[in-house]
Amino acid sequence: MARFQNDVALVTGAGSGIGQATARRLAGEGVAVLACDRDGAALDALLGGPGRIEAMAFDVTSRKGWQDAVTTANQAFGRLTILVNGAGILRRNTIENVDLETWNEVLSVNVTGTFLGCQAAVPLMRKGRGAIVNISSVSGQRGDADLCAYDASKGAVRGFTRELAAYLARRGDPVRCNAVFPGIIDTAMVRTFFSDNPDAEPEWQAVNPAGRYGTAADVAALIAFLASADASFCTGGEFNVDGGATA
Amino acid sequence: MPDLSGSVVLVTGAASGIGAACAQELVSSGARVVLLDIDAVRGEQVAAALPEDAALFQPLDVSSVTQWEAAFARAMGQFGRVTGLVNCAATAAGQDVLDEADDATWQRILDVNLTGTMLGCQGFLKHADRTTGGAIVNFASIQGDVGVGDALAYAAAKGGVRMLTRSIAQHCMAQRISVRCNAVSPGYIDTPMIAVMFAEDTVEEDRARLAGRHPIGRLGQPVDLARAVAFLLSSDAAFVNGSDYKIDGGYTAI
Repeated sequence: MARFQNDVALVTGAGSGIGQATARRLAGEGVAVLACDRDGAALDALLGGPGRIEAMAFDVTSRKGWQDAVTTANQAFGRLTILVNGAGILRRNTIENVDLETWNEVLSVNVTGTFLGCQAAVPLMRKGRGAIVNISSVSGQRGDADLCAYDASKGAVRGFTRELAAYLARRGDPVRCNAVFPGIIDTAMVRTFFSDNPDAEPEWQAVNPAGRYGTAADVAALIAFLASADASFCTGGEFNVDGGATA
Repeated sequence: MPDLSGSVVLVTGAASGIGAACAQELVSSGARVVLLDIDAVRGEQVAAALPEDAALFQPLDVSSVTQWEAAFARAMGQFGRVTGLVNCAATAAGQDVLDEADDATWQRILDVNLTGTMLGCQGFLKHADRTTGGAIVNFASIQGDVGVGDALAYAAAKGGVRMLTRSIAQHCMAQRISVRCNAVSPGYIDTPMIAVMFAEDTVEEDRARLAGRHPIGRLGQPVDLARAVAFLLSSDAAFVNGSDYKIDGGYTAI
């Protein structure tokens, strides 16, 4: 039996990287996907390919945007069973030089965006069933010297995921919530970071024992597993896909 | 379901519970499986229910170096290679607390759960192709991570498996050996092994109480683990190494 049955997914950050690969992977396994990104033009790459994919532009920091997105998914496909909070941003800063504006920007996308997505999607999911996959990071498990706000945001996603999983399960809601913890993944976000900060790449490589960067498809494969019925006993879990970086 | 065609996987503890479910799931995913267990009678039965060209049984006491050698020799002889290892064999004791711990029970639990896993990994690295690669999945446990108060030797052994797994992953990466090594940590799974936790006259109450310790409200089923193991053995998990995946219904989330 297929591990997805009449599933509908809402994937944010689908304009590039992990979100885009996840939208492709889920669509390839028969899931209807509402692919979302702040940059609507970036979603064009997903359209016209195999599978059922609709596109919608919205900003994950907007509660109104989330309400519209969940309504759109429900209207387009009749239900919502999977939420992948793929949107995220990366900024370089240390505790000594991080300014409040950057700090708030990182927290609002990575943490508040994830929270708003869960709050908007859960009422619909709880009527049927649901699986939420949040994107934390190895940076939410161990410190990086130059990613002060990012590390804090990913630690927040980690704690939030466990708390939400416990809350939903204790209530008896048929909604699971897990987080994935990628290592260094070869995405536009990371490539831009390296080109903006040429000295960062050697530092990062020092904590990447695999000898290669992960691909967005590597992460998408894990997200698909967690979103599927194959993971029906998994909730509140932390699933690393980091090429051994935290071993 | 991941595609494991072309894989040859050794599974310990394959005569019952999670190990049997793993063998079945892996065969369904296209792998050929060598089922290993100390219980030859039930092991043969589980293997006999699987397609003959995809499964065979070999008796194995995981704490015996010579029996591990025989297991790998059988796998290589029959299928020509080994690409996967699932160290699922484990044992537990009814009274596994400090004041009751006797030397023999302590040693047996460490021998089977921890040393048995190490010996399997050692044999696998000897026989697997280091270039074309392979994958190991070791069974740790939530009890290797959080104290539950009634699993003393078991917790020690499973905590050992968690770090053994990470150490092997680090070794393989440092030596450029293309073998991945990960762990799964089950919550309480509905298998013959947990029956030792239930008093004879209160089995159903005890079972319900145990299920209630998982936020998700139920015990795990062997297939829940088998599917995670299939994922970790497959190319879908190509960038997953040295990790410990909780399959625990939220037990350790709280």
